[in-house]
Amino acid sequence: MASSKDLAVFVRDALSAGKNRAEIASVLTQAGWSTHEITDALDGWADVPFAPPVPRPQTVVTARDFFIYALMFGALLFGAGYLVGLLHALIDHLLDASARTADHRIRWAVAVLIVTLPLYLWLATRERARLAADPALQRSAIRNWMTYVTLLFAAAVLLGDLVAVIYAFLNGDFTLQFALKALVVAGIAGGIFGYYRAGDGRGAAV
Amino acid sequence: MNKLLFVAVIAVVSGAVVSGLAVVGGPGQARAEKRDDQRFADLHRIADAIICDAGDGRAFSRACRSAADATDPQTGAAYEVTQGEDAFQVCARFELAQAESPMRDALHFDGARGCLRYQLAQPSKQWVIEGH
Repeated sequence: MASSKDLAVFVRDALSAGKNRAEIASVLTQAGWSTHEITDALDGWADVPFAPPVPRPQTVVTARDFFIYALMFGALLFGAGYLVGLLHALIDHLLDASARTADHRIRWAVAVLIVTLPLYLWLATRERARLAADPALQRSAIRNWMTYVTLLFAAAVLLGDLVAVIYAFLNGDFTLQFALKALVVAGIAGGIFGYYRAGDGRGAAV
Repeated sequence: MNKLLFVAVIAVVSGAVVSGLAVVGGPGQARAEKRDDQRFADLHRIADAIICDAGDGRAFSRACRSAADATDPQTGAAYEVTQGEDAFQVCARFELAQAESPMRDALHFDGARGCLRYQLAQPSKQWVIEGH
């Protein structure tokens, strides 16, 4: 069994020898490589008439990216969670003012938001400026992973919210209070999902 | 992040934070709540000590817990205790309005002054708290 490193070496040698891409792809398919693996290997070399073959840049993983993006998306998810909690507590207070049990929840959520909102906005605008200045930075594998993890969380929350709404409806608990809360969850998770889904189009192009 | 979205996010979050603080009040309010909770707990402790000293408690093997150290957390003044033959009440001056403390339904309020009232029920000779 050959490794993907052997595959990369083979593709480079074949391109150096002047074989065309279709030919290389067809022999690799015969040898049992998957289309996905073949495309990846061929994409590692720029499709320009030049010898020796010109390498394309690979996605990069750096510790700095991990630090920045883990912090940024951590702040986003944590802050969004407590924003939902805060809005829920406010809805409870508006519709049922006698209950003061939510005071601690509100204070904690306010404290969390005072820290996470400026942190997230600062990191996000800073990274955006960096990306605009040097588009090659969009190749960060960590950035893509974190984006998709956030999309996964947002999607999971949206689906969970939908399940809760249907359950409450079937169970006869579908009150105004509940509807408002479900709307808050859908609005925040949907906003995050929509924002990163739209941003993904730009990022994944590289 | 475009400008409009940036402003919208800040507006939503700060709106939520400001209304959250408007609902729960600032640190002064929180301190007043804690002092009121302390007063409520003190009144219960004093009442327990009085009931214990009144006789029933002697039957138990453990000694009555003294509530002599219970004083108002803000002023340091002793709580007001009015004791009769078959009824007593312990009172404190609370800082927050009665409506804000649904957990303290047991208190009889007269303005800021809230009291716990107990009666000796006949013929069981048990002290029972007086409800509304």
